[in-house]
Amino acid sequence: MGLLALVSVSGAFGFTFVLNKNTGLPIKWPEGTIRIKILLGDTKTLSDGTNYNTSARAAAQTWNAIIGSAQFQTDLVTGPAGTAGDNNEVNELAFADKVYGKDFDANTLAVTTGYSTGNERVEADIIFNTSYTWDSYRGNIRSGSYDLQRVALHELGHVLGMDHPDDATPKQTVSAIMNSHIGNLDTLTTDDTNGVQSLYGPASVPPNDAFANATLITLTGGNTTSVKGYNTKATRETGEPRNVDNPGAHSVWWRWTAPSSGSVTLDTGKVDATTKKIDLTKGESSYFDTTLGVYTGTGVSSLTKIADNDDIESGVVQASTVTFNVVSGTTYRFSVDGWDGDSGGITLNLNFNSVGGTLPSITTQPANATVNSGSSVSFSVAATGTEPLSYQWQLGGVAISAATSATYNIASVSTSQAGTYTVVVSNAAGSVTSNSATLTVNTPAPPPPPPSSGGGGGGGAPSVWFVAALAILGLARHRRFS
Amino acid sequence: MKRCYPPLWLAASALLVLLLPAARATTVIAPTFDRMVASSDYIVRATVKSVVSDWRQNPDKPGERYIGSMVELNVLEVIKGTPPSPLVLDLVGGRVGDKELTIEGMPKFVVGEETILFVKGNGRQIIPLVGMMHGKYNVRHNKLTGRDEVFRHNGDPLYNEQDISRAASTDGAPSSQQTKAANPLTASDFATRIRNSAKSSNRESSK
Repeated sequence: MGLLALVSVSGAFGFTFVLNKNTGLPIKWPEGTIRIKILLGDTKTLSDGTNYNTSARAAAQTWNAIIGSAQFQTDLVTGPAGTAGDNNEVNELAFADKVYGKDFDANTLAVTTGYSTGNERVEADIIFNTSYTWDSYRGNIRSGSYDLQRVALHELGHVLGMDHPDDATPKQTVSAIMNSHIGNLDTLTTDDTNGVQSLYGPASVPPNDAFANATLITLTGGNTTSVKGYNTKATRETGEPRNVDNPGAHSVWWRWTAPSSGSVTLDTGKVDATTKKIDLTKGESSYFDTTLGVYTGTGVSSLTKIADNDDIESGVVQASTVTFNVVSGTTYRFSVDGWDGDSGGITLNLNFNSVGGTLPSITTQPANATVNSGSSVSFSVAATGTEPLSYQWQLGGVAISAATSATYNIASVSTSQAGTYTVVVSNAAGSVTSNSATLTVNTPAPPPPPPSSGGGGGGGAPSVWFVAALAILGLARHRRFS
Repeated sequence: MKRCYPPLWLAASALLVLLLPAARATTVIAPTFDRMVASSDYIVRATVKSVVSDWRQNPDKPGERYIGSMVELNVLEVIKGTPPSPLVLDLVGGRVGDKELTIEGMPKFVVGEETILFVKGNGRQIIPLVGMMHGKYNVRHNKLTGRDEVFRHNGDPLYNEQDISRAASTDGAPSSQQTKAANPLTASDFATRIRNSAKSSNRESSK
């Protein structure tokens, strides 16, 4: 019960795919050769000099020129026309007036049938309706005969997993050989190329295949960013760690340095809130079953794993996601690979949560001070940043007990408190340290020298010497009266 | 090379549709409204009751199997012809276990959906609808207007029955040729126009 057919949804550019309704991922061929048998016949010479077999083969070669991980095998062209087998895991192109023993609809030119298991296509046949006259030519459609090559180009696109953009929900309006109608267009368009390369990648090795060539990620939209790539034709390096301990086969690398401390959520796809499946409609998801790993370190064989993930929901949502804490200034390395060698177009979404928002910034640095021992002194700092801010004053790099406000007061300075003062200002986003401020403590003045004889002096406190003289005089008088 | 050549009448009708502007499809040539009505064995408004898929034998190739599906319908209104009761559509394609057979361009059937179907060759054709996806129109209730409105297979509203013959889009251009009305056709309007076309067709054939 339920959906009879696979659901078609739109891609980011208009291209659409035949989807596995269980996972929401496109159904496509595993990497390697897609064996095809072209059983259309080679006895009739067509307008462009080809025959039915070589015209269809040219269509296959057109697709082969732009895709990476899979290629149509086109050397199996056989001479005489033949019939396609059912469910025989051989991909065949043939003329017929029936499909699975049933008639074509009178309006149907050709039919592509496809068997799939999970996300993988296992067989596809293209049956051209013998009720129509077929030729092979370029340019505008001619009255009275259909161009087999452009029909084959369209149908082979279906074999690869592409669907009709103009039949998608919501409908896409693009120029594409994969639109549901035939017209004067006889070549692949940019949309066709983008679509098929989302499944199979281009023919080239990705630039971020090697760990050393990891692509730098920068935050472009506030604290979030999305980057695109592909891992088809990528390889693993000696000593490279495995995401979720899966063998993988096609890892590619990105790197990102945390601008402040906080946390990061990294994912390779988004989930549709309604279907609970991976959402391919907004260009925010990868097109295959990914694995994702986060590492620190500088050598591919000596990395420290921070986090990794296979599926957002095991076996159901086959995009990956991890959330991990980051430390300001640390460079993190992200590896995207395919589960069991899967590959295709990648979207990597990074959402940086700098926890407390903006790092503190010191607007007024503490100033140097010089005081006498026993005097008071005060150091101050002014800072901005996401509240709450906290402060810790240090003397010589050592935290001072209870010195935790923007101003640090010493009521009576001792000489031992002279030195270099700094303050660390912190919030949830991280911390900054102020410039140094030096405290200089003057020692007490030495005692004054003794007074000279005959010298008088007026005013002031009696000197020691004067008191001593009085004491001697008083002692003499005391002895006389005695 | 072994080729089967079409009968003359089929070739003639193919030539006729070739002359239609923007009406050619790679898998399907979009039929005209009148041709759809005339070609249909019966036309019904129905809800999808169940969809069941299984493995079947190919009658033309003993020992070869394929996946087919039975779509049971709850008929709400017969617009043309005399459908059997119960009405169960027999289609090629479906899913059994983890294996799935898809026919590109086949219409989707969702249990519970309301639809208007132009049925032809049930049990004989790959997809027993005129023009495959062109033979199925979903009916959706518009809560704002209270109308039951008709939509094409790609979700576009159907403003005029003649739009059926138009391709869903042209190369890179919006469907500007599509007739724009204030509201999509209602299911009852569409049924009336189908009946009128059928009557007209009957008059033509009885002359």
